[in-house]
Order: sequence, then C-alpha cells, then structure tokens
Amino acid sequence: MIKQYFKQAWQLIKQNKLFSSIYIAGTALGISMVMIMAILNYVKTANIYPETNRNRTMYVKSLSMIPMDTVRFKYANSGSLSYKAAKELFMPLKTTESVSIMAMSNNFASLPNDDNLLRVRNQYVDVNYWKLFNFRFLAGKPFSEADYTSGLQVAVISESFAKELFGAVDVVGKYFEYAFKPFRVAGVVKDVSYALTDTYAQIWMPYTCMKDYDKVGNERGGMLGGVSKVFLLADNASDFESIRNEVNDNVQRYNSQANDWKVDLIGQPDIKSKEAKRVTSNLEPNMTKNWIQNILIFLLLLLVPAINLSGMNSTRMERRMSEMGVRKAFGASHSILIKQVLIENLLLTGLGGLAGLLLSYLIIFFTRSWILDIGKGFAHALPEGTSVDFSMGMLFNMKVLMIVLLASLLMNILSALVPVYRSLRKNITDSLYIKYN
Amino acid sequence: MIQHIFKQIWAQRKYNAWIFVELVVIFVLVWVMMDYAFVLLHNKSISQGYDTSDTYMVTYGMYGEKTSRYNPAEDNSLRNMENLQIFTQKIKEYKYVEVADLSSLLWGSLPYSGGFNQTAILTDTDTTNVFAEVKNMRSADYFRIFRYSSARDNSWERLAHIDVNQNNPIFITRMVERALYGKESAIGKTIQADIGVGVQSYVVADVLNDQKRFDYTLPQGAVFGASPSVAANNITEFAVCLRTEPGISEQQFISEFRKDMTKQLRIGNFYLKDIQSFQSLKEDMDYVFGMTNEVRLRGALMLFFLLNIALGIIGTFWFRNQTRRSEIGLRMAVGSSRTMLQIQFIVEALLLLTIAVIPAIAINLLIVGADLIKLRMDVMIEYRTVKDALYIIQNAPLRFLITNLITYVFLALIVALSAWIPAHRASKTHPVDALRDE
Repeated sequence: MIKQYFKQAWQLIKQNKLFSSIYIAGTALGISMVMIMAILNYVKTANIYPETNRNRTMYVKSLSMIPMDTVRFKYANSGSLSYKAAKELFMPLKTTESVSIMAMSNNFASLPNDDNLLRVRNQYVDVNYWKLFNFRFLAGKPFSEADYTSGLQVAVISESFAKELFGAVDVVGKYFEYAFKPFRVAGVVKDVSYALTDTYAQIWMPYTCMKDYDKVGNERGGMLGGVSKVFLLADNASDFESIRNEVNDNVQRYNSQANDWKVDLIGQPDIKSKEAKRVTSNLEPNMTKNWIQNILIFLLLLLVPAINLSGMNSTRMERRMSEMGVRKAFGASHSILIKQVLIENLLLTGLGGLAGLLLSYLIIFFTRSWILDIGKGFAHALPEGTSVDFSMGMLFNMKVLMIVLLASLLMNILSALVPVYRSLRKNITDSLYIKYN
Repeated sequence: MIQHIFKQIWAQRKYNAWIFVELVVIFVLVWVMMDYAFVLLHNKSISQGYDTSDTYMVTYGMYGEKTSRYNPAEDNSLRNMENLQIFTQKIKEYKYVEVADLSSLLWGSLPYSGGFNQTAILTDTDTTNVFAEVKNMRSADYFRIFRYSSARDNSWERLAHIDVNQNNPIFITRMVERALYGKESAIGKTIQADIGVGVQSYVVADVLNDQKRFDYTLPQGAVFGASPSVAANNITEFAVCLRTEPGISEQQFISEFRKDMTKQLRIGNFYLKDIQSFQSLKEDMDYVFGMTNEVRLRGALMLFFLLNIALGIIGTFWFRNQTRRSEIGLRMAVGSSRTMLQIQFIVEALLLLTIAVIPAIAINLLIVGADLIKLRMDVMIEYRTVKDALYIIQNAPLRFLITNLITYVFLALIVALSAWIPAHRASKTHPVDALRDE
C-alpha cells in the first residue's frame, strides 16, 4: 500500500514539475536554516579531532573573587584563573582521570635571527594536555615530564606551520624563535581546525616556559591570573556529579581559610554545551533561556516555510477533492486518507530535506570563515592567512542526518495536516460535486 | 474592478487565509530588518568627519631583556628616544609617504582604535556638563594625516599650520560648540577639560566638523588637544601614522614597505611590528564589535523571509490559476485581454498584501511599544524622540512611518513579481483549451 502511495506521489510530482520544484525549494529553504543551526551546534559540542573526549570533559575558565569585607572592597572581581588557583582547586582532584591547564598567547615566530616574522597562536600547556586530547603526531612526540618540570624551551608545532617555517614536516630537533626566544621542535602534529577553540594553535609549549608562571600575585588572594582554561577529564560522564562535589569541597576548604577574598566558581565546572555559551567571566549562562530561545528560532525557521507550504497544499487538496470523494464513497476512512496524503507529502518534504541539507553545506562552505562567530557580541577577527576548515566528519554524521529526518517529518506534518484535515471534513456529496470556479 | 477583486479575494478566503497569515508574519519580520538597515544606511550616509583613505599605522616592538636579539648597549632612555626618532624619521622619508608622525595609541585617539576616553567640558559661565570624546595628538600633522576639517571653511590645510603645543589651544567639534554656546561661535573662548593631564584651561582655536567614532553611529562630540610627549615610561604607547600620496594601492604599499623597511627599521632594540591601513583597522573593528556578523545575519534572514514569501505566492497562485482555468477562459472569451488578466492577478495579490499590512503595522507598533528593538553598541537603534533632533532617526514617529513605507513598497515589488509569473503563464492559455475543462 505504501509503495502505491509513493508511486502515486511520484506521478503527481512528475505531472506538475514546476509546482513540485517550488514546493521542494520552499521546504529546502526552511530545512537548510535548521541544518545550519544543527551543524554549528555539532561543531561546537561534539567529539571532533583532536577534542575527542568532549563528552567526558568538564571546563573551568573563570572565577569570581568576592570580598569578605564589603566596606573596604566594594565589588567582586572576576577573570581567568591563576596558576595558584588551578593548583589549589583542581590539580589535587581524585575523582578525575586527569586535569590539564592551558594558557593562550599570540606573538611572532621566525627562524633564528630572521626578519620574516609570522604572527602565530601559541598555547602553554602541561603534560596531561597530550593525554586529554588526541593529537595525531606526524613526527616526534610531546615534550616529556622532565622537559616540563625543568621548563625546557621545547615545542610541538602544527604541520602547516612547520611547512611554512621550514618547508618540511620532519623537523624534530630544529630550532625556531617564538617571541624572539629560541625553541627546539619536539613534535609535529596534524593541523587543528580554527573551529576548535580549546586546541587551535600553531605552537604548543610547556606551561613552565612562561615567565613567572607560578608567581603568586598580592591582589585578590593571588587567585586571578592567566590560565585560559582548566580541563577536567572524567572516566565517563556519570562521574560529573562527584567531580562537581569534590571541586565544591576544595572551594569550601579554600574559603574557610581565606581572610579577605572568597572564591566563587559561578556554577562551574561546565559541560561543553554550557562552556560554549559562557562568554563573560562573571555571569553564568542561563541554559533554560538558551534552550527556549533556540527552540523558538528553530520553530520560526520551520514555521514560516510551513505556512507557505500549507497554503500550497490547501490549493492542491482542492484539486484532488473529487478523488478524495470517490475514495470516501468506497469506504476509505479519514485516517487512511490522511495517512495517504501525509506519505505522499513526505516524498516531497524528504526531497526538500535532502536539498536543504546540501544547501546548508553550501552555505557553510562559503561562510566558513565567520559563521561560527554569528551571534557573538565580541568576536576575534580571523588571523591573517588562517582558514576555518570544516572536516567531513563535522558535516556527515549520524546526528546531523537524524536531525534532517526529524525536521523533514516535522515540516511534513506542519504543512500538510491542517489542509488535509480541513478538506476531508467536507461531505462526500460536496466533494464529488466540487466545481472549479 | 477593485470591488470585483475584493469579491474574488473573499470568495477564495479559504486559500487566501494561508498566504494572508504568511504576509502578516513576513511583513513584521522584514520590517524589523528594514528598520535596522534604514538606521544603518542613514548613519553611514553622514560624513565621517575625517578621511582614512591612504592612511596607515606602523607599530613597533622592542626586544626584551631575555630575547636573543636584545642589545643591552642600546637599552637606556637616551638611546631609546634617539632610536625612536630615527625610526619615525626613516618612515617620513620613505618614498610614497606624504606625511607621517608619532601618535598616541592610548584611549582611542586614533580612528577605529576601539578605545574610548571622554571628558566633561566646563565653560566660565555655564556649569552644566557637556561630555566629549578626547582625541590626543602630538602635532598638527595629525590633521594633515586624517584630514579633520574646520567647520568654518572645510579646510584641513589651515589647521595643519597651528602649533598645538603653544598657548594651550583646543579644538572642539560643531556638536560640542552647539551644546556649549548654542548659536554663538566658540572660537577664542576659554573652556576647561581633562584631556589626559588633569583638568586645565584651554582656548578654543577652531571648531571642527562633526565626527563619528564608527561609520554606523551618529556623530559624537569630540575635543582635540596636545598629548603628553614621548618619554621613557610611555615609549611603547605610540605608533607612527602616515598618509601616502594618492593612488597607491594598499596591497602595493604594504608589500613594498615590508620589503624595503623591515631591515631598515631594526634600530637599536626597535623593530617593525606591523603595518596596517586604517581601512582594514576599521574592518577589523567592525568584526570585533560583532557588527559585521550582525549585518550578515540580518541580511541572510531577510533573504530567507523574502524567498519564502516569493515561493509562497508563486506556489499558491500557480495552483489557484490552474483551478481557475475555466474562469480565465471565460474572461478571455468575453474579451478580456491578456494584459488585463495579468493585471487582475497582480492587483489581487497586492490587495492581499495591503490588507495584511493593517494587522502587521499594529504588531510593529506593539514591538516598538515593548521596546523590543534594541542593539548594543552606539547605534541609536531604539525608538526615542530627541528634542531639536538633527537626524530623521531621532524622530520616532517619522522613522516608524518611513520604515513601514519602505517595507511596504519593497514587499509590493516582490509580491507583484511573484504573482506575475503564474499570471503570465495562465494568460497564455488558449480560451478554447481553458473552456474545455467545463
């Protein structure tokens, strides 16, 4: 029976090519917008090279220092963590598999004493960083524990940077300058897409290379500093709650001994989806509001085309009124007829969904350099010479395909149900009598 | 004819209802975008007040103590001051360079720097505070580079001859003059302001044309005065700004400059860090402040809504025209011309839009009333009427009228075009074919 419906639907499509293409285009338009949202969300939160453990990682990127004596100090201060804060609150955690810290910086890199300066992104990282993220080493290996503790000036560099600087990938042991200081190449890794905010860089070097990295400041208990992010890797996501508890215990212990300033983690550690929404250092993102907002946008993007398609469907149903009348006269029930029309319509929306998916790929391809920054109040301009690459895995995956299917089904129901139901309410005699005027 | 079409619309109300709802929704959404675009384009059309074409900023760095290129013999305040002077002099003498000077990088003294510093201005007679953005310059070459011009004769050449470090001169923009003295001239009057060295008295040397901080904002009042001079403790807070001869492309100038000057500008512990045109600094700033993407997002959404309404109208009218073939045939048989027929369909669609506008404008009023139109940054986007306003967008009712009118005309064009496509096809039907359906 279903096969019969599809055959019929195919005939209808062929009969009226232009109408069908308009209908499919209308569906594709709505679906493509939804798919862009879905793909961007996927890129920001799913497990993608080298951040393949996002589903079991928690993140901390800011803290707020609250004065105990509100007469002397009026306001709370918030910002990035200091090395001391990471060391006191997170490094001793027992419920985590491992804890890693990272600080970002930008500076010039060049060959020794060369005037050709390249502006690059650098990350100061620790040894655990290489366990937390799955970098693919094309040459060499990460710096060792011993390199780290002695603050040796060694670095891991990216494939494209190695090629730009040395013209080759196998450059382990060679020297270059970062911020006019000499570094030895320890390893070369496959490039990281600019879309991956936690790991994107050209150079990774020991955190201990940073000047005065563990110096404790006098202000605010020395808890504010330059650590861009703390990563907490759990054995699996079910441990998140116990990690949170242990972190809170550490915070409480710190606060009970503090004399001027208390620590507030503002709801952290975050899971990835929340961390991606955390933009200001002193505010916790409102995830419920965010969800509602996303669903509203999702519906608006589907609803506007759906009203359109409903209009087209209602005129189309009018044309088929007599057919429906005959079917009813021979005993077809409402539910069977509704099912038939929905399945017929599904063929059209399915084709539209497919076209929409392709359209969304096309749009993302042409806007890749900036589309991830959409909706941000403050964005960073793309560094010169960088390109944002969306890998195949980001675009073709089960999650994205499931969402296309779901969106198409939803669109189908939204756009066909009301017109069909309305036209079926008519009397058989009316349907059979229908005249086109 | 109109009455007849109204009857038609009513008779087909069941099918028109969908397209009607769609038109209402789309009108509201497109109006939100149009209103934004109107404010933006309006602001962009106002003169910037200065000219950043052919201007560049050259930044320098200094090798620090622990770097491989550090030269301890050159690292004392005397040598550093001399080396910076040589650095600037070499740029001044570079081919293509018309004028160059050191400028303070701090607090938004330079165009599109992102920073912002404002001061209260006091006059001898009045105690009400007028606020203005502070722009510091080292010499009047600042006027020669950026071509801020006098409001009196639109000349920058005359300003460029004033010695800004003698007799405490200060320059204010028209907007500040109006706020302080109304219609009187401010030239020669004494005002007090803090332009970086504490509150002091200054004499207004000239009044400049109004200037904007970003090209999408309304003009802001500004004062211009001499900056603190270069010293050992602030030596890294300056950059060399320059203007090239006209007609040299950005790409050519930057690549030649880098090639010729990178080695030349390694002087003592100084090195050439970066050279960027002010035009590209502006683009970066628009991006960083989220403006570029805001415009792109709104543009994309508008395109999405317009495509939707176009497809909706083409689709609905298409099928309806097919079901109305016999009517079309009959009309042609009794002497209606093809053009008449097309006009009838287009007018039908336009009338539908016109009816939809009534609830749509009511919704738009609600949106304005609920203060839902807002944007961060300095774009005057919310609906507010300013007394004695200079600009249309500061008159809320007028702005509402204009933007709704633009939206209506714009949508009418799209609707007419979309209705014409199926109408044109339907009118090609031969009357005999059409009537055979009966």
